Amino acid sequence: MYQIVSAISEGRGTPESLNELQILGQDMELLSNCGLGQTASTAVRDILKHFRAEVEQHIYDRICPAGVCKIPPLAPAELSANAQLHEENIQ
Amino acid sequence: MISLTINGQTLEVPEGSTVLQAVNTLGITIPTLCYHKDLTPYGGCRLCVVEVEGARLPMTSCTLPVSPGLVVRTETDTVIRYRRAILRLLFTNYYDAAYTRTDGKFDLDYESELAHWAEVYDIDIRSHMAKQPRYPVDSDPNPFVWVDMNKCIQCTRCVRACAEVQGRFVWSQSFRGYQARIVAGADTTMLQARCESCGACVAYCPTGALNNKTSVSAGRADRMVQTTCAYCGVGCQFDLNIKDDVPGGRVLRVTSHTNGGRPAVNGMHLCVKGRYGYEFIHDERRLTRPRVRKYLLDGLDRPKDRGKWVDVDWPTALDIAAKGLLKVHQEHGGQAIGVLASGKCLNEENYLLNKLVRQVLGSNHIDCGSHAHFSSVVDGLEETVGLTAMSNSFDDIAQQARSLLVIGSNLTEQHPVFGARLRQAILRRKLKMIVASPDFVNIAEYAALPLYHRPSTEAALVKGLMHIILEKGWADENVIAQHQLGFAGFKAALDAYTPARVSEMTGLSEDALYQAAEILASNRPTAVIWSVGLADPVTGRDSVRSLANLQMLLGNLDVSGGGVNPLRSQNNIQGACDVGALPGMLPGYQKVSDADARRKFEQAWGVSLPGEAGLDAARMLAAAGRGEIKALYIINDDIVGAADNGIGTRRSLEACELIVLQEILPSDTTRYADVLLPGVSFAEKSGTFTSAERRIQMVNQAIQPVGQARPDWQIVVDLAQHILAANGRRLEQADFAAWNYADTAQIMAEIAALAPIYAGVSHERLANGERLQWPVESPEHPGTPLLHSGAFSRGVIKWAPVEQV
Repeated sequence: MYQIVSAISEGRGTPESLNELQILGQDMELLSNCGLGQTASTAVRDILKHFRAEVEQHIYDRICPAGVCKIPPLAPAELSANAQLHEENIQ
Repeated sequence: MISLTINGQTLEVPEGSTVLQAVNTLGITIPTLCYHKDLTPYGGCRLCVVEVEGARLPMTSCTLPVSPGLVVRTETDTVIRYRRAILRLLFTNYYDAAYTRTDGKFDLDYESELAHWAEVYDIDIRSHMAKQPRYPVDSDPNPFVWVDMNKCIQCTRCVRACAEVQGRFVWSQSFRGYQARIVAGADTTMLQARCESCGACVAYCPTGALNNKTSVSAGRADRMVQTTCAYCGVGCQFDLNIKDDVPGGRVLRVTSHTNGGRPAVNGMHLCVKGRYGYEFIHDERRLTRPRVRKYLLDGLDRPKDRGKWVDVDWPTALDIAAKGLLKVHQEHGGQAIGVLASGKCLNEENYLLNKLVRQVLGSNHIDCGSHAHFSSVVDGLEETVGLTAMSNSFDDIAQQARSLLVIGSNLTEQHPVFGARLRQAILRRKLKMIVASPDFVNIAEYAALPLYHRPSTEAALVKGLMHIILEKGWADENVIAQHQLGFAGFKAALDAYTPARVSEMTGLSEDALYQAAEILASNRPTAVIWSVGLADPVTGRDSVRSLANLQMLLGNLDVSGGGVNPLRSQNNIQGACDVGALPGMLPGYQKVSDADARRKFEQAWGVSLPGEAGLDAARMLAAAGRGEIKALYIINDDIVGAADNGIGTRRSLEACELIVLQEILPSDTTRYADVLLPGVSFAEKSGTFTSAERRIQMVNQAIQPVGQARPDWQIVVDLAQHILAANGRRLEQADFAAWNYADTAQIMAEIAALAPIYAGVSHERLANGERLQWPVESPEHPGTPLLHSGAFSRGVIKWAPVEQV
């Protein structure tokens, strides 16, 4: 989970990452031994719940709206390809 | 019993068992990693999750106790999805360079339960494992344990194995979160963390993070052969891993015996000697061809240094050995030939040696080579309890004793697996242990009371304890009432051993003596355990007799968890004595002075037997020094290297006209040999060993003999035949007169026919996994785990005289 979130914040996120985070978060809650493990994924799951758009911008547009993550800018051609991918995913 | 439902099947299991155990009784397999039946359940890996009706979350079956009406499902789609998720998570911190190979071969060359479950649940390890390693490979300098923490999934089996099997507490968990890992001691090296290199952590590791350093890249075995360890008297079972890439096969490594579920003395535990001390089997110095000295071939007189070795073929070597022995026999009689049998050889081989000496050579000069130095460890027992063996079993002591008196034994080094077992007994059952030793021994760390007495004052110490027990009235009144004979004299003799005097003799405080006596008196039954520390040529016999007296006095002799328990040093010294490798005993401890016993063997072997006991090993060597013994036939014993009186032994051997030595490796003794016959190691022959607890166990041949070496029993048979042929002697017709044996099973059948304590022993029964501890009186007899049970009522045990020092 940590690896996936790190990848997103560094601009290496993929559209599948979000789904994976969601599933991992659920599994961790169900399968952990103690309360700490069961709630460890809450932060990430809440981000996805309340700020999903911002996270998606990290992936598709390669920008961090809050200006916290340092993401290397993307070439225009790749950007437009990502935009198309985003469209498809939404549909 | 509790009733529950698993996958629609209702079953009843005992209260206190876990769901996993219940599931296993149905033959359903649940994947597990951190769980092992020998260790406390931990519930850390989560792989064994099952669905439980009514539970909010999936439950780990290894930690969930059964409760009435529980409804469990083990193989639903959800459970399988969970298990896959868990495996994927485990692999995120896992890195094995074997999966990064570019040639596409991803077969691991070690056993890995993790890889097995990944395959079962269709997880591609290559795509899920970490992208780079986090720790150095082979990160610990321990000479036997190979550590690669990149493969660790923190199941903590190693932590629990070290604590619950070996009792050494080397491994622990340290650091938090992503940094959490297994460390040795306070994140130091294993040896600094007081590791004893038993390899238990390796045996229990499910991922290959801990591996055997001596064989880490040796690959997988083609076959496994269960056999008995050849190091000490505990008699552990293990698997020899054999690779058949060379003719005859070779031993790759030793691993714990896991399948079959037969109750072995050691379970999965082994010690550093058994697990890692196998390299001698393929040592390049192994003797692979028979050798004789050149002067023997040339027919010259013996030069002072015995001259050069010449490699010869078997018939030549046997012929020279046989004719040499025969020449001595003809010139000086059978009394001039001594045979030193071996506590490292099979029962069957020692039996044949006893037959060779008594039937073919017509003397009784046979003894175990190690008896030259250590026979007093058991000699004293013969005069009191009658039989020179452990009275109780290892598991009986570990499970039933309430206190222990360990004297003259460095238990955790001499008999490490039993030592570790007693550590667990002390930790779990809180039994009290007194360790008496002249200097610190490791097991004393666990002692309720360590007694560091002056050397060779063991007998005085024990007599002092008996004095206090009588003084305080702690003796067992029933035993004294039943055993009046000799008791008054015994008691009077102890009067001299007042605490004040014993304190002066042993250097222990009177207070310590009283404390020790109180521990023994208030925690019955006490098991007395000793080893070669008592093998003092002057006081040894007296010490052992005193210990037997002590056990009688406390009423501990014929009870479970008590008894007198000499731990024999060599792995089969017990068996060698059992089958007649003793100067005064025919097989099965039948005295040579007993005319009835002798008649039985005379009829069986077709000869008449001398009724006088022969010389024991020490006297044999002394007689050789005086020129009374002219020839020695020594089997598998480095009597020079093991001697505390090295010069005396060397002189004796130098004086011998002919020394025939049967060995597997060159030793200090080979220098004195005239004929060298290459025998084989325990991996190259089949037969039986008898452990210190009188348990007869199979040794199974795993590889073909190295070079031209031959199993020792075949050499003895051939030598006997050569001697008989050279003499032109024909044996009389008798049941067991002949020297033609197809295998060792046939020899064991002969032993069973002649030695009543082995009467019910056969290779067939042993191969079936039966636990046979002699006396085994008939093929149906189950063996005798507790030797002296009811002995008092039979009146066979007597008070031994107390020597005054």
